[in-house]
Amino acid sequence: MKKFYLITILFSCCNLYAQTPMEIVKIADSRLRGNSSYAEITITIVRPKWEKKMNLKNWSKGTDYSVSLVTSPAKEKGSVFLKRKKEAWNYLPTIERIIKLPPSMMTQNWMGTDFTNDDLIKQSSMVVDYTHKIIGTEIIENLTCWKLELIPNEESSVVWGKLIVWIDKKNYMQLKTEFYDEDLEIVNRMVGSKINEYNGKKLPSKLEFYPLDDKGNKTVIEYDVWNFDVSIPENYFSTQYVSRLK
Amino acid sequence: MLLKIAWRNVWRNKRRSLITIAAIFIAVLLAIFLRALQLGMYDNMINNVVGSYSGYVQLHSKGYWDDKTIDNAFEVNQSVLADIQNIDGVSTILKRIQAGALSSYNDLSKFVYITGIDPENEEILTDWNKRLIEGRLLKKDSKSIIVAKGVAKYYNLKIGDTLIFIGQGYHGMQAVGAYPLQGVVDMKNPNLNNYSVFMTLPVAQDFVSAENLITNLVIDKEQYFDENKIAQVIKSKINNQSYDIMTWKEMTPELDQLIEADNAGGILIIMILYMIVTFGIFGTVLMMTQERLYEFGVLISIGMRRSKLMITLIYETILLTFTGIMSGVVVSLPIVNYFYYNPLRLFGAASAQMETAGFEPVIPFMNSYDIPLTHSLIILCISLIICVYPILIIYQLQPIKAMKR
Repeated sequence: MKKFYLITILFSCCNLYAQTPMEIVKIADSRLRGNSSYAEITITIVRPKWEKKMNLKNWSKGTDYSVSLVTSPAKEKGSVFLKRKKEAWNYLPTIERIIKLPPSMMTQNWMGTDFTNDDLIKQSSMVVDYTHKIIGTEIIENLTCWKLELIPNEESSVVWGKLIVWIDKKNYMQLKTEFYDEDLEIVNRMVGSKINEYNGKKLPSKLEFYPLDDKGNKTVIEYDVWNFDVSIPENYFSTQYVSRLK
Repeated sequence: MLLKIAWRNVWRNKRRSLITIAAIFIAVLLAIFLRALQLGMYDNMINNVVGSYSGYVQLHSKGYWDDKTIDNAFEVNQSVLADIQNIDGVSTILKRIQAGALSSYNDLSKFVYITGIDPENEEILTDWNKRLIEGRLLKKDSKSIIVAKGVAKYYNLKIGDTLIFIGQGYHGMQAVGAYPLQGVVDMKNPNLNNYSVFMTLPVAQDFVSAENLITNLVIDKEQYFDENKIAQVIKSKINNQSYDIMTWKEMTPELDQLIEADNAGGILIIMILYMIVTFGIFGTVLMMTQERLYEFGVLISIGMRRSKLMITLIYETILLTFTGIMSGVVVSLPIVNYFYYNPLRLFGAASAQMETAGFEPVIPFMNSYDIPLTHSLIILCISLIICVYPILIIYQLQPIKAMKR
């Protein structure tokens, strides 16, 4: 026990004094993912004329494996989106078929949201693929945040020109992210809010994603349940198991 | 009295009169044939593409035409339907829902347009029976689909095979479904043939999760009725804020332009024809005037007033022209009608060319009454203008000179 305290103290010391921008991002990133996680999510797609709500269950393991099961609306119940490394499959219960997403569908919207399939599959590592720089301190939701600029490394296959990320100094929550294209024009903005505690970790429970080219469009992600470091059977991430997910 | 003299004058020299009548008769006949053929061809083209499928007038929700997504579907209420049905010249109203989707069979996939139709009403507009190549047509409660022949050929489909569709439904819903094939149709248009899949309206609405919604309201008109007038009336009757009303010319401008361009050529040919006819008639009139110079001189010198002589001549011209026109119309009518019911069928290269352009390789004549009417009137005008020549001659006539032989 003493050892643990020691480590924690040492760790927080590091936080306070000798923290490089890369370490900040690394901690924030690992807090968000954990080794594995299980979440129950409500996604609301907002369009100027209408709104659609859908509920998902999501299991994930690291950055490579993730599987999402739609639980509502009734008509889409049972649809599964499976991601294994750089490949993705879609299981559609109405036709009892699993479809591997072809490259041509990568730029299409993921389940009607504002994310593209590419956004989810090619999730580049914010730690490895970028060069980090602290460019200021700002206050968001009454929390003091580092404002970091992330420039992608030349050899990485990142689609963005740069990212601006706000990470709060106390809990390492990623509260706001702005995505810029190659011409350094802002394209998307993601805002976290409604901070909640999940398994002792403080995280924003609500993420709003705004594609800035389409006025009035946004996608809201709310985490109703979020458990970290749960044990997930290996077969959950296999194409054979998709029809049995519950 | 003058009319009687004119009538006698006409029959005094039968051969001369017959030549004039014949010139007019041929002019009328040719003009009617040419126009009936050309307009009939255009009508057939329009019918192929517009009349038998997309309708002359369509109603969409505002903005659908520029952004043809299922999210622009609308619910049509009964009072709007009744309003439109009661408009003069509207023959049928059809509800359709259309959505693009990816289709798949075995290892192949292809983009198609799925159209939900109301099979019973649709029968009035499109002659589905004639278009069916294989299998059965949709019935009111069919759960299966029919595809156009291009789609069937691409997948090498047989009746009973199941096609899979994946697309975007209404308001972000997933549109996914598997449907067995029950028939193959020939849409007589390469574009439609390559991309069309048909389901019944309820099945399609369920597929895209758009219960009771439609994307297109197809309004068909009675034959030879002006679609612009119908569109105008609809615009004045219904709420313009939420709907777009479009005629086929706005929906398929390329067809309209094709016809306009071809029609310009047709009009040029008919102008040339009229020019030849004008000189033909003028020739006979010139001959007639010269032959009768002596007679005119005598009449004037024995005291007939010049004006009366002129009127007699106008009567004569009208009589001759009228006889020519009437005989032309009477002779052309049965022939035009025959070709209206038994259209000319093209063979060989011409036929193939028409088919690749998306039209049925037949040329039916148009039997509308306004073709003979217009052209009769034009020829009557031409004759009256030509009539000015003998009148001028009489006006300047010096009896002594005229009687000198």
